Amino acid sequence: MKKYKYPFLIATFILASILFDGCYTQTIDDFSYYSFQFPLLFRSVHFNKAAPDTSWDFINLHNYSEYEDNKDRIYASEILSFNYWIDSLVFLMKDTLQGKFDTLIFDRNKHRDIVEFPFIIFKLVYAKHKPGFNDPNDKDSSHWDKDYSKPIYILGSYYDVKVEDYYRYSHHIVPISDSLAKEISNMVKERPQFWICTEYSPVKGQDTRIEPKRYFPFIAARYDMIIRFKIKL
Amino acid sequence: MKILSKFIITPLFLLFLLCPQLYPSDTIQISRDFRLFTAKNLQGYLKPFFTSIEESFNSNIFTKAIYEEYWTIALDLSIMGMFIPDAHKTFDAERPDLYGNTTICQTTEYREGEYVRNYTKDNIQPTIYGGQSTAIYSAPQNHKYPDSTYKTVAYPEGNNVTFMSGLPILQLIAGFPTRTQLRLRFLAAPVNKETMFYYSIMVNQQIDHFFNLFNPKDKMGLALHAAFHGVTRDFGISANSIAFGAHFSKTWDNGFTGYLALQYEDLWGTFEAARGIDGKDIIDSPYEEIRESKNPFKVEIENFNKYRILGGISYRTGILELHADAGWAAQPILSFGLTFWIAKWGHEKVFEKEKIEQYEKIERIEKIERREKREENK
Repeated sequence: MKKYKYPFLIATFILASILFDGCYTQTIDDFSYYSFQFPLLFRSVHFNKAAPDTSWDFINLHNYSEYEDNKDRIYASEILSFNYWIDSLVFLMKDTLQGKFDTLIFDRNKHRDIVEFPFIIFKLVYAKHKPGFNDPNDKDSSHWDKDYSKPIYILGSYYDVKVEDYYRYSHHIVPISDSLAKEISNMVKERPQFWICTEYSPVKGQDTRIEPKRYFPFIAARYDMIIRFKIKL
Repeated sequence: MKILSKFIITPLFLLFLLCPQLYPSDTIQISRDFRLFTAKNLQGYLKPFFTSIEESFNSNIFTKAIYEEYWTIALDLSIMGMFIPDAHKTFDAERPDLYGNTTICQTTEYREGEYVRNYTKDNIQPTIYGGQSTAIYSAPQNHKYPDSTYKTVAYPEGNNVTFMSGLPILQLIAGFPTRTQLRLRFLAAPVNKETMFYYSIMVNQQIDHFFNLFNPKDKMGLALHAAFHGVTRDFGISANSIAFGAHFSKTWDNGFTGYLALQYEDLWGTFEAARGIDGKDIIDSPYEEIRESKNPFKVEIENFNKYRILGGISYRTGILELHADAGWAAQPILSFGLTFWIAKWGHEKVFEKEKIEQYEKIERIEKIERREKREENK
């Protein structure tokens, strides 16, 4: 046994060193990053909104403290899921007896099968500064333009949207596919300013030849996006 | 220092990280709009991490249970790692109090491919060792405060850890002729511009000789051990850990020692901070604690582990002792260390007795041999 004592000790020590060095390196790597999800909550409010139409809402992540406080450490950002619902709706309904339009506040229990959109589509379009502006923290949407030189991403498509099914309900969640999330991720990291484009179809039963636009006195929609930020510690 | 910062400071850093303003004052203060965690959720999130810390603290308290009747001084350097079970990768997070009340909000969460609506039971979210978290989408049903604040929430994620390396330990060992051994650890590290201290005192006492349990020639020992650990930072962090149990060892002639142990252990304490009260904006959070900036922000430090069964081997040659053991605990643990026996002095009663016995034996053998030779010559 004495003959093998020193080779045994040296071999044990080397093996243990390699093993534990690997473990410590792995643990340090594990804690080199930290990920958290945060909800980006957006309320899109419009008066006298017409259908069909397209509405644009500007998002600058610099407005959000979770982003602003960690922006220098953000290693990756990823949009994970998207959710849309209608928060408030005032619509016009024709009184067939008197032939005039009544203005009504939508009630999901009373107004069933009255307002339905064949589709609503949400797209992400990157923003770029309008000439004369260059502050990345600029929160004024009038200083930003759409950047059509970059790809446009479809975040979510909703079909046969009966308003009563979308009225203050949160279950219309669209998970963003991994491939799309990764594609958007790099862009969001470098360009945290973007537009959300909402395309509203004509209302079901609306003949656009006779009625090219149907107006809604007030519509407030909500879309919540869950974003994952991975930050370097 | 890098390792130290990763292992001790990480949970604190995670806490401070997302606070826009953390004031370097006596009391740890977090900014008013820190909304990533409620105190209860931070507690659940870090509980497995504190379990790893606790298991690290209570490792390498002893090796063999035979403590010689000398004065001894040694230095021990040990490292260890814990396997993280799946059960430690998730916890039941606190939901906002009015989630599930459908007149206030309609909630939906997407779990395992299914949409779960207005669910009020478990809110399974990852711990620091877990994976992805699950957001809860919520549509408020009216626009009056505070009902309007019951909006969508999202949670922090884990780091997908399956094996967690513990804090490397450097400890001073002092042996006494009473077959008692004392182990001491001390560490100081800056946390948020205040010094955080870690200290530890461990005592091992061999007991088998009081009851003549084993024949000394069998080189077996039975000992009791106890440990106390403290972590403290004035104003904010205070944690203590204890362990006590018994260990047994058997040494073979080839220098190897096998040891077994059973111990009870625990960790408890608090992390306390104050939420800032400055700022006029309403904190838009469905959690009442965050919305109303409730103070203090107090996190109970808890751990999953209470017991450990341990088996190990050590090998000593000269001043060097290598030791390795495996423990079954809430997080199964492996540890490895080196002890440098620097000095030994005092009354070497047993050693001398053994020497005399050896000389007597040799003399007897020589006498017999001489006698046999004489008889042959005759």
